[in-house]
Amino acid sequence: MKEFMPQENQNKKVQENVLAISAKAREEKAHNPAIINATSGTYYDEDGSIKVFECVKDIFNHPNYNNILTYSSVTGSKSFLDAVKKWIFGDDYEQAYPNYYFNAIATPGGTGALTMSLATYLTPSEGIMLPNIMWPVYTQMATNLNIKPHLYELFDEQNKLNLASIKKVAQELQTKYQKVALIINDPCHNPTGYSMTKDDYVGLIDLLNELATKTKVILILDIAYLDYGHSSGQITRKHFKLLTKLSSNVMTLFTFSASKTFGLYGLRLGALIQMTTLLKEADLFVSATSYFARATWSNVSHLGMEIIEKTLTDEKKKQAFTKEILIASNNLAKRAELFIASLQKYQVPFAPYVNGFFVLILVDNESFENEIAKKGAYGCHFGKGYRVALSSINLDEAPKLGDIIGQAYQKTLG
Amino acid sequence: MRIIIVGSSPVKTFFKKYQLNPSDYFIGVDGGALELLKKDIKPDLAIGDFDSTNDFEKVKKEAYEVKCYNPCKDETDLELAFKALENLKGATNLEIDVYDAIGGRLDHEFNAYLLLAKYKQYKIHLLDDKNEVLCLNKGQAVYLKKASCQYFSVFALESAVININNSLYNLENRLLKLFDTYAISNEPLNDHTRAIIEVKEGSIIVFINYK
Ligand SMILES: Cc1ncc(COP(=O)(O)O)c(C=O)c1O
Repeated sequence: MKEFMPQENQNKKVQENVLAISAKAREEKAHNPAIINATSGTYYDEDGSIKVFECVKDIFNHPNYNNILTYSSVTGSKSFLDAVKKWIFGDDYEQAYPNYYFNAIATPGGTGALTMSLATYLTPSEGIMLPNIMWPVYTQMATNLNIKPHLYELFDEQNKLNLASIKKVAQELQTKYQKVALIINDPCHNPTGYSMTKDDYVGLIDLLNELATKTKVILILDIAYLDYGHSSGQITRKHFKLLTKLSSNVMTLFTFSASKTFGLYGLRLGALIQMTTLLKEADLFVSATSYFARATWSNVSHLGMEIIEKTLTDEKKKQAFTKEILIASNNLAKRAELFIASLQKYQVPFAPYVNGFFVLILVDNESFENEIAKKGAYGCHFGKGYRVALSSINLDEAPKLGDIIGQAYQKTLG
Repeated sequence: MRIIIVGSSPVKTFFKKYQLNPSDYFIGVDGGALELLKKDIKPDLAIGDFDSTNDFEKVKKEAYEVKCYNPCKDETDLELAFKALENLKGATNLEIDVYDAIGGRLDHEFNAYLLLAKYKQYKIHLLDDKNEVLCLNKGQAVYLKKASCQYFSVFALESAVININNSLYNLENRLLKLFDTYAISNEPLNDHTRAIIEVKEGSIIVFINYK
């Protein structure tokens, strides 16, 4: 060995080009406002500035330095975690879910929650099931922990969750591994914008229960975009109630992101929440995740926690915030409507979009992408498609971008 | 989700009667763990001293969790299973069906009735082919159809006040004391309404004999 670095680490390279392209598009737009920057998974307001929720401004106007600059506890404050659980599962979640422990720990973003869930529950000799169309960071997280990714098909012929594929891959894994773990990103799947229906949930639950008669099953639900789902996530929250039909041999881990819900992207805050009926599993979660946190990031953004805690524990502020996020999520839906209407004029193929930040154009072609760039618009090459971030364009740009993409499609492939 | 507990009485009911719901939580008590495995169900918990189990290795291999106790203990294996319920969140609001715990040795059967009373905070049903035994506390009730129920009998676990309606022998706010036996062998009255047994005060044990 010539280098200091072990061989397996030398092969680790960030595959994602999103952050780099995004920076480039932002820079160009600074000089030329006509540029359309549809690269970024950040919600921008109609005027092109990042969405700043009132509750965030509040803290900056009245900072309590003791609450924001000091270290927080390793797990994150109890009041922050309680507030997040109530936000996700309802104020009455303890009554609504009487048979479940919901232990939680604060993490640096949804990313921290995801990587912690893999590191805590899987060993290097195990695998994780990921959708074939996905946020590529999942693969990087798994590979970074020497956990093997196994892909399932996300969609079936009806463009619904492909339960048959999940079943096939899971059953193969059950012959190799002691347990099956899978990540599902819902609602507002990145990069397609698919949100699971009630039938998808019911079918998934039946399937996981069937699998759980053979081995334990871990369902990692990446709910980073929860509040941009239908009616700001209210439909998905109803679907969560169905998870009470899961066998005790299926454990659900929710990964929550404050980046998207509260617009705190750079503050790095999220939470990992475990739903289980088993006391032993609940206790193990608390000890092992705290240990992991202490040994890696130590503790999370106190400022971020303060913002969320102050907002969600004050009924008036909470209501104001609820309204604000609903407006943002409805506005995103309007952008989607305009964008998709103009895509459809040109018969551009795209993955089944329901809601959320992204639409995935099902075209994998360099000249198509170059053609779009020539017209001053930027999206991202993403797997076998081209991802458009509706979160970072406005209502004027949405139909224009649809036209640019449509014309590029006609020119290069039509 | 229900909790299914399978004991090791020589009179087997579980294998014949239980219909699989994969979301149920399964506890195999001693040999009951093997009875679960006979139906291809992995016990979530196998508990007991396993002194009378002939294939403990298989239990250890298949069960998700095994709690093995020294045979010289005070509790019966069934009681250990009831004690373990505290490890399941909110088990007091779940229905708990106990199979293969009665019908064999009378001392074990009597022990099962005593445990039903001792752990009456849980909704436990002792089941065999033709019978169900359960406890009812203040404010609780059961409804029985004539189509399935042949007889039912109630006894007090402490002084109780009960109502029985739509039955052959109705009772209205009646005091039922410990050792009273008059409420034995009752029947639902007709096919149109269900017999109702309601506890106003205290707690009772109900025996239901099915057709
Ligand atoms: C699918 C998905 N999950 C999770 C995250 C986590 O984001 P963060 O770490 O900023 O909370 C993102 C962010 O882009 C995402 O797209």
